[in-house]
Amino acid sequence: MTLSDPSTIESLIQALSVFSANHADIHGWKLRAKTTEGRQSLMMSTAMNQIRVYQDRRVTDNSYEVELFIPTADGQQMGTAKGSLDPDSDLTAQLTTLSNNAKLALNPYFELPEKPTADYPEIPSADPNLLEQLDASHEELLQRIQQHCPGLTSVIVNSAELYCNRHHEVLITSKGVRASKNTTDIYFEVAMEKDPAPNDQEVLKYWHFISLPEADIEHKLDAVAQETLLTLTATLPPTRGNAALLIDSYAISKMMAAVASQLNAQAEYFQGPHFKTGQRVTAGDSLAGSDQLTIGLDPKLPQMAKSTAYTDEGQIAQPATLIENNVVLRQTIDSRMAQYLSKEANHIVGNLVVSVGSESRESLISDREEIFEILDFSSLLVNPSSLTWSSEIKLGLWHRVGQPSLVLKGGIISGNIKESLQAFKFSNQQVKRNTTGGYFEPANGFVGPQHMLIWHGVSIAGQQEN
Amino acid sequence: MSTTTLFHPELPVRLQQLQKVLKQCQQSMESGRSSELYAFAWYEEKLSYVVEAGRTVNTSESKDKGIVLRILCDGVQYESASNNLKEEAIQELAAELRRTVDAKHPQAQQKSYLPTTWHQELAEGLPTELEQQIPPHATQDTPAHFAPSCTMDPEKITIADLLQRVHAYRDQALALANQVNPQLNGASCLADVQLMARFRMTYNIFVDREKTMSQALPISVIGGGGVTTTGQSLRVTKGGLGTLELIDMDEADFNDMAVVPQELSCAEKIKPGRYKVITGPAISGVIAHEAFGHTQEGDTWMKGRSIARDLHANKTRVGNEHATIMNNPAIFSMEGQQAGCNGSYFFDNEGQLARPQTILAQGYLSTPMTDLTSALELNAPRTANGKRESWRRPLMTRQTNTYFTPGDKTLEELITLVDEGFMAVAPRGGMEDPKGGSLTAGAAYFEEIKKGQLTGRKFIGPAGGHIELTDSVFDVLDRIEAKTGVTHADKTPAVKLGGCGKYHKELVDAGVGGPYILWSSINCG
Repeated sequence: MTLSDPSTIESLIQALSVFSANHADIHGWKLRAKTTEGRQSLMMSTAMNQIRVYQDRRVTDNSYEVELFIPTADGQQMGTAKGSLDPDSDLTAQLTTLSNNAKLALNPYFELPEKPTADYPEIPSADPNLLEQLDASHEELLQRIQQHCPGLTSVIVNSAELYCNRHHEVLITSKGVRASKNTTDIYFEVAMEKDPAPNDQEVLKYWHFISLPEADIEHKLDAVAQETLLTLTATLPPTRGNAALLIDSYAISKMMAAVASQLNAQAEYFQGPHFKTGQRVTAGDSLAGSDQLTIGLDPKLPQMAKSTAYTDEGQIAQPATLIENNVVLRQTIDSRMAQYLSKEANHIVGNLVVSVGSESRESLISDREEIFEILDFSSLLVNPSSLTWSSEIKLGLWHRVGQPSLVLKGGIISGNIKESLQAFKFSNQQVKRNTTGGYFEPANGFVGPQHMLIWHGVSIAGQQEN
Repeated sequence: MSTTTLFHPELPVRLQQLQKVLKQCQQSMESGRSSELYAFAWYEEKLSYVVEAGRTVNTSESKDKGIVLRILCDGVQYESASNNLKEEAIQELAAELRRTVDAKHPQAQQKSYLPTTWHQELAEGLPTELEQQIPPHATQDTPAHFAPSCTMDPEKITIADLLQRVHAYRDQALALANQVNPQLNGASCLADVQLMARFRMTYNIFVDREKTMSQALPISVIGGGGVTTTGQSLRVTKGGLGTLELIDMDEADFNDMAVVPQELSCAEKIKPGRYKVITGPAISGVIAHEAFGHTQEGDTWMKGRSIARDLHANKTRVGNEHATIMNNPAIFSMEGQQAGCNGSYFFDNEGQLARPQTILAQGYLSTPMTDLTSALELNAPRTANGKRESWRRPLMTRQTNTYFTPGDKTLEELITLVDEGFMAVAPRGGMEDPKGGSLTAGAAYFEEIKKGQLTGRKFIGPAGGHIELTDSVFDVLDRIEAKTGVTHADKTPAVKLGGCGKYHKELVDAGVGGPYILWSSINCG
């Protein structure tokens, strides 16, 4: 895939070069162009889980964004301004406006990084079939959904959504950076309830995939149907001041991403909560039997949400271990923050890689007399500043002495991640999951354990027991 | 007596030609098959000025624009969306969409949807702000333009205006933080105050066979707050449908940003359990939005994903006599503000004109809010709730401004009714469960009430974060004890800025509001 109109980007580069030549105060610029083509299908079911598309969309999007860098005359500060460029309108006027804005937004001076001396590595960040045949791929996935749903028994498929996208992005800077990548993504969600209706519960699940082989639609539909059958008799959880909890990779990835965000050097520069090299990420010493946390970032994993050859600054993206056995080995430092904090830039970005544990899920469930397993959170909100979280339980299981005794729904669980990292075990099954990102959650690729048992720093507000 | 000049943003001349092109496309999409196909064209343009100020300062000035062309045939909404706005490209997009529909539906099974005429709209009745802006004797080709009155000229607002405000407000908050910290025993220091200010001017064009409309929607927002070195924070948000006077901050805002986070860093943790709680307008609004807001969305009904359809059919009462909830895109003034909220507009993304709707009346559910698809599927009245995140995204039934109607008490009277409980005024998100009938609403913190008086003691969540309020919707709505009154002429309470992701995505503006409400018992943790 390429930009839908490659000549446009050349005309924008030409305009930026001419504008910079005519304005000696401009130190540099960064241009990002992106083309996206997408298919979107919203579906509902009729009788016998026959799936019908009721909204069928095709989207083409070409966007251009530029950032200007203009230092003050004394060289102490750097003005920056970002904005969209409309290639069909007066470019000089648009750049003049941005230039004026940059002179108002002054930050400590920093140098823009030069083009890397080495070549960017080849990172397979897209699915080749989706890239080449978006429509056919989307139609095939639709067919698979429509063929599989009628075979699901004892459940009603209420709705489904399928989006397929392909993107081509180009990053060009005045310092010689010229990098590009193709990416793809698929979004699939389905909502089911048990049959016969009426019900007061449903199961809603969604997934982000980067590649077609990952999109195991039939398996996902079967798994949701199986979980839906659990919604027969749910009860409020009991209130607990300290609870043992089993969470899945969705929650693990969100919590670990919040921990990793405090390793970003920007968090240190902003003087908010952050971790420095050598610090422990736990609130205190590990309790007996706890695993130790090891986390890294890897941009080179094929076909994942954060796979990339280059950083936002156009530098070669680097993998590294960030936390080993609960201790911070290194922060993630870009060129600008390196200058602000007098540190060395390391350009570490990428997918989150979390070490797995040694026990199976079944073994973890038998680890404590009472364990609350969360199958679905209503809305898991993780606060990256305080590293606390909370949510209502949408669906859970109450295990007693290793056996599920009740299905749970409702109540509030809240937790403190730093306290929970003192007493946890990861399961030994490794999974891969992707979030392509949006307003509600940033893009994230995750390779790590399927389950996590926590027995410290979690409380439940449910019903009071006599 | 002083008079203030009010500004009424017009449709820019550059967009008037586009409106004509879109009309031609709409006609070509229906051409020869108008008895089977219904088509419309939509244009949106969002010019946004954004300033972020913390230890670094960032500005962004962007114009996002795109079109959506739609053909409805046999119950399927076919759409093509693009930001290539060259005339020939738009015409080709329309032709291609028509070819797609012709290929899939050489003969339609259903007759075309018939949109309402201006005459029908006026006969049904419209809010004054809309009716006054419809040209006399309007026909399908008469351009009708809608806009709110603004105190400032939106054309003259710049990044510099926003920067001046955020710098001044941040400086005042930081100065206050430095004065206060030494007096707070055991409190963490404020690490920073981060503020974001945004002015966004949206222009929309809608054309179908009966109407040619446009609207200008200026929205001003300021949001942000302080964060301590240990991560305690409090966010303040202000703004609405109008210009920058709506984002002026005051001493109370500085206190919330600079002092409260420090107080929360040494606040007690609440013991999970059931409490008597008074919610402020924003949290009352979140509860309205999550309780029977999402549950009353037509597409949720249509897919069998809401309990409300059966409850409505069975005339089941789901709340007590205080439980009345409105959804109203036509808010252009409210308690304490001579402007609308960010969920206000004149017509939705499918050209349906804005009217207020009571979605829950003293505990009884109405028919749902609808978009075109759900109205047709459910044979329910159309309402102006067809919205999308942007031209890039699908359209769904979405809420506009959702709020509880006011009561008759003063806030002081409400507090005196609480022997032991809490007041919650700072919102922190919420989540719906339209099928399961439960809800959660977040509060950044609670302030204690004892023997009918606020004690000044603040509480945070059991794990040190925010506090979640959750319960069955039926229980919540049956436990409203009393509500405060308002002085606004139309009895519209304060409606605060809000945003909504349906289930977990598709972010749209959605105002939330209501009076202060006393709830006799809510599960908190």
